[in-house]
Amino acid sequence: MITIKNLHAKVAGNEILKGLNLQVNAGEVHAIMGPNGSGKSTLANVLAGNEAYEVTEGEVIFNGKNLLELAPEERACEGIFLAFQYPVEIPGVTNSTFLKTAIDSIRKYRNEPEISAKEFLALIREKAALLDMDNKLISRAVNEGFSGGEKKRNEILQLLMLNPKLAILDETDSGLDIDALKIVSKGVNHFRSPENATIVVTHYQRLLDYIVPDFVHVLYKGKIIKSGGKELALELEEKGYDWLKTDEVEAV
Amino acid sequence: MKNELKTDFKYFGLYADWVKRMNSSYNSLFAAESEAALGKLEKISFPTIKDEDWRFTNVSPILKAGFVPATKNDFSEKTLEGKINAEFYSGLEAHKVVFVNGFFSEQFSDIKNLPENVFIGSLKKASEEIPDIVKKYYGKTLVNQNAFELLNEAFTSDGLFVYIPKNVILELPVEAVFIADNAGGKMISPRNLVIAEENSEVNIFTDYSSSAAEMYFTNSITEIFGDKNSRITFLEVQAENNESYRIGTTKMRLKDSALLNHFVLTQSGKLARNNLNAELDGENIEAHFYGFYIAKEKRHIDNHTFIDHAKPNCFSNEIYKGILEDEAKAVFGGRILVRKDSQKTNAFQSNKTILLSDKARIDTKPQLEIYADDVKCTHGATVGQLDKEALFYIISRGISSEAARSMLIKAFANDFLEPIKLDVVKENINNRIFKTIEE
Repeated sequence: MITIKNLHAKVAGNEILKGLNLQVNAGEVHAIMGPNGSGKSTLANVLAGNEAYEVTEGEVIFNGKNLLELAPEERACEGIFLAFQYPVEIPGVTNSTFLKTAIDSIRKYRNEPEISAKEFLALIREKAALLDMDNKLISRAVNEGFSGGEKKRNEILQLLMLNPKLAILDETDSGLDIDALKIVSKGVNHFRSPENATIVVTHYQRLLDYIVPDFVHVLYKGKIIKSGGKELALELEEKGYDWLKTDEVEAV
Repeated sequence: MKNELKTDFKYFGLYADWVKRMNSSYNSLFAAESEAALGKLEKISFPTIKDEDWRFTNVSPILKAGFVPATKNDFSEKTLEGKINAEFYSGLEAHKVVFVNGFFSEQFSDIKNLPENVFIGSLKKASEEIPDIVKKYYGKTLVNQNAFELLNEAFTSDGLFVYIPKNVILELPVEAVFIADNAGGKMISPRNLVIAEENSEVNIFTDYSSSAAEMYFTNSITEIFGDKNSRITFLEVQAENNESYRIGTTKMRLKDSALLNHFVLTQSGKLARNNLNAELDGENIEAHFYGFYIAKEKRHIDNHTFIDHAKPNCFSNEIYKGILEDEAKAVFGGRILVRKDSQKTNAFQSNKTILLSDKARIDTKPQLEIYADDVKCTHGATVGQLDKEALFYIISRGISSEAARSMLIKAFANDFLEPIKLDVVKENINNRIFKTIEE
């Protein structure tokens, strides 16, 4: 699905990613963990095409295409989706208008006809119900006046509606209570299929109790310094990151 | 300086001639006021950029152009046929009042059956039919008039008059269209007067436009009186051609528990200066002032507002926003006065501008004068570009950058659009804003 080779990226002049390698195949869920400032959010933003982040070296091949050459909207149309850590409020634009515009833009890119109003409504109702979202939230302006939990839920609603090939969840668990965490996880698990893949960027292990990863990677100072199965997350929960930092020093 | 300006100002000699040419369309009820205004004009100067309130807006092009007061003979209603309907909000059922170059047009107006004692239409006609009511209010908000106000007073002939007596709720809105036609080189001086008596309600939508791209000057005065418990919505759209100049003065006086929603959208014009002055002369008044301005090329839009909290326990909410492109300039002057005894005043002011180019510019100047000690006053001004993070958020969903920009502009304009209660009008204003931006 996606192959990241020797990725280097800067933000505001500081090099954050320093040679990151990662291979994610269809059907897999990868968790990226690491301490603050290790480059987790940078990776998520670089993959989605945020212009505030500058790629200085390396390549990213997404389903055979050079991802770094594509504009953010083209990446979305190719099937990349980023669930934002801090979703943006858009007053005056309703959730349903926003999503219909997004779906139609993606369909247009793929030379598919627009979604009918009826089909759209049925789809959004189904997905909202799955996330225990009030129908009223659908007709409200995008994220405007939403609580932190509602915003994150809304990100997952967008994920389910756009049904991408690769979902990148950037700290989706931050600021969520346990009930919201369960609902958000339910949404992500519903999305999971053998045809798509998910990268879960998180600080804490607790999200991974609900979204069980196939692989866990530890990102530290812009590189992946350790990879393992889901048990690695538990080990990190228990021991913290310090033992890995030592390992890295020894390795160097 | 004064003498220099007087040389530019050619109106004194024109007055007698103008009165003669006006013939029957001259409003003789206010002949004394007109002549007095003309007399005062001789003694004061037009504002210059040396005056603090006019620092950023140079009106000398208006004075130098030598505009001549419009008369009713300048245009023919026949040539306007077919053009007028397009000016209305389509689908809005309303009492329609049309003015051409500041003169009431019976032919194009459509004033439906009115409740008893309600008057909607021409100020001139009202001053003939109900002179006592008109005289009770006419000019009463105007004190220490500046030269443009005096100029209007001297040369006005007519304007919108709305009178809603006590306890009347006017169900249909009033839609007033002011169109400039064959107006090249002319000065148009509409004089509007709105009176909402105790416990009455009225919604007024006004629209200024031009039939052709001619250079002319609109110098308007609108006086609005809201008595106790009155509820007034007043929306003004300034959509005149991009050769035109405008000085618009709006003066309001509100009494106890009045509710006011005032909107002004400036979408075109070479130079527009709006002076808005609201006197909150009662308690428990709620007054909202919404402004939106869009300017491109080298156009200039200046909004100066003055909210006078003259009594305690009132709430004023002022939100002015704008979008500037190219080398356009805008000015916002927001003065709020809370007088010594006006305790428990709650005043909010915000001015936000999006600059879509490096050369566009806004000068914003909040001015809070607070003499009471138990008040809540906040103000804020921001200037910036479209939020890059928000743009990224939208395009990361597959939406094109152009559509994303439109969405953010819509989000930005929402503070102006959302409080417009009538959907037909809201939709129309929304479309105007987008059409103007996309032009």
